[in-house]
Amino acid sequence: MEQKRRRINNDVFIGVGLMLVSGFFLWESMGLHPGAGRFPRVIFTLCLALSTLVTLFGVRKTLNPALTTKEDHALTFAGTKMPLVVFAMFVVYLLLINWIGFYIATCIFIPAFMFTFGARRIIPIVAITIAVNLFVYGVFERLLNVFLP
Amino acid sequence: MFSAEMFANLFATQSIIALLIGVIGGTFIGALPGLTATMAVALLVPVTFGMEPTAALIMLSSVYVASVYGGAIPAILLHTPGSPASAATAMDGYALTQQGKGLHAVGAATVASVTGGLVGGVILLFLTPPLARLGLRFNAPEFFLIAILGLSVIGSLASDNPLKGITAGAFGLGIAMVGIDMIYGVPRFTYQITRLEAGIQLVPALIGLFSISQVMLLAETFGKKEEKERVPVDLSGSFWPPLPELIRNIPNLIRSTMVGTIVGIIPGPGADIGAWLAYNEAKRFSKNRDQFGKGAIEGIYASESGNNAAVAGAFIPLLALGIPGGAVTAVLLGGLTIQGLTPGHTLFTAHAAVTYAMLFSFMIASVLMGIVGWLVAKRLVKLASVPNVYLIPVITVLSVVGTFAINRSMFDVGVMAVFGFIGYFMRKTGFATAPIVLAIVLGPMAEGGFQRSLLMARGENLFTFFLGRPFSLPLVLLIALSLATPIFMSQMAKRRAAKAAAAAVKEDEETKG
Repeated sequence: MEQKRRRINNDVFIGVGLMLVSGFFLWESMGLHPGAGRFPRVIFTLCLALSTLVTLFGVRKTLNPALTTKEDHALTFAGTKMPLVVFAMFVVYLLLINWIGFYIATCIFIPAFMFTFGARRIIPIVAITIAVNLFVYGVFERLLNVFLP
Repeated sequence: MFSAEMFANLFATQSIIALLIGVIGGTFIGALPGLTATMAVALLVPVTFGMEPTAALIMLSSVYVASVYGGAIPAILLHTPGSPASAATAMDGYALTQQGKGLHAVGAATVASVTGGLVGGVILLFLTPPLARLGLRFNAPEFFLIAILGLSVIGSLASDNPLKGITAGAFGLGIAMVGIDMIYGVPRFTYQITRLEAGIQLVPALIGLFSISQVMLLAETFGKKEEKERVPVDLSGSFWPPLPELIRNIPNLIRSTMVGTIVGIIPGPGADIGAWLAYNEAKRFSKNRDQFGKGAIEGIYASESGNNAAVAGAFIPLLALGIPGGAVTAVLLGGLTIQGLTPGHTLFTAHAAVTYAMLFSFMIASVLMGIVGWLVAKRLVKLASVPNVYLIPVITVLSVVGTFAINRSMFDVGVMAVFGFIGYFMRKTGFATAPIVLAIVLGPMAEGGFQRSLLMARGENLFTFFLGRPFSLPLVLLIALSLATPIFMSQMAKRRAAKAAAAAVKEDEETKG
């Protein structure tokens, strides 16, 4: 007989992850100076209790799928693919800033980003790239004396 | 209040430029769907770092007030609220646009926003100083309770899922524990990383949580077919509403402004609830109740004066007691701290010239945004259609520069990236990000108050020690009220939804009949 597989609710994984994190920091706060560790112990005990509740609610939603909400289905690979690509480009941009400096990195990042995600009109791409660099130079370097890497 | 130094601060060149940039920038950002007031203020905090305190505060507050107004323009003309505070405006506003009265509706929204901001600003000016004087009587236990009162807002910030909101807030308090302990001078959770000894800095965290996570959310639209073609909007006619209509709406404007200001003062609900409550009240008092939702101009007057008055109201507990009522005011509190200003009585004594200049600028900003709206409303419709592919890299670059500018540190930029990544997944899984910011801001105050209260109690039972103090009990009651508000609001929303559903069924039956 074919049995329908029950999908474990996301909150179970999130709750367990949060329980591990709060458990770790609670354990860490035990080793702190008694006075300095008092408040962290209270806070991470609270975190542990709340994470347990998140997990339990997740288990409840797994057992009774009628209780699931829109957010329980929001996290899918297809839905998060583009944001992850954008974040990866952002990380590469930060590495480029360290390597070749802010202005050159920005001159590469903005057009590359726009082109990757479908912008094909050269004039706005070039105009935005120049405008952003000039704005940053004018406001941060000239006005606020913030010298970028 | 009226000192020569205050006027010198208010009319200094830097202050005037800050005001203009704040109002124009805020109106434009508010008009762009997807870009929030919180994000705008978060991105501006680093820019204000090197500015004179007056100019810095003027810029931050005017961006906030103008962005709430700016959201009304696409809400009316495109049925796309630029900010959640304009959602109520969208209903009647767009209905009027479809009837060819779009510009008239924008004019009404402008007059209402200016009125809400102006009257709310006057209340802010006269109500905040006495409230701040009250703060002089507070000691460590009261400051602890004030911090808890501020944190109790979390329930409202995460009204969709209070458990997850409170969990986010608790972890935010954990994040606030990182760094050297204030009382014992011991490093906590720093793992020999010297840069962590000063703690997790507020600006990288909030830019990550609000800007980078927003960028990632906007990126979800890439590769999907979007409706870029908009129906042409008829923008003929007069911008300014006719005088008889204005006179007819004076009671509505007064009532809505009062509702908005009171809602703003209560920590939690914010400008969007202010708009909805003012709208509901206008509908209750109106003779044309049936027209609401189908193009009632009274609805626009109510919601827009309500949301702008709520902005003014939100400044009252922030400046007087340091209680941020929501995400934007939590960010603004960070802006105040960066300028070396502490909310409370000293803002109105030692820093009176700065504070009063900011309060007066709030009213000037309210008038100025009306003028800006009148000049640019037609063009803002085009701006609201700018594709995300052009916006995202610009926001990303500004987030990087803004974060770097605070400490000239790429480490902070890395922290911002981590918070951005976490923030995106939090928002995708129903965890609001604002509680974390609120907890980072209020965590040290809560801990300091708690530790000092323990020392003051000298072994006495903490519960009786707290309740034995004259100001503690009212604060405890306020905390209870703040916790009960989201439950009440949720009940109201459910009732409203049920009523709307019943009306829809009745209408459907009548059509069939």
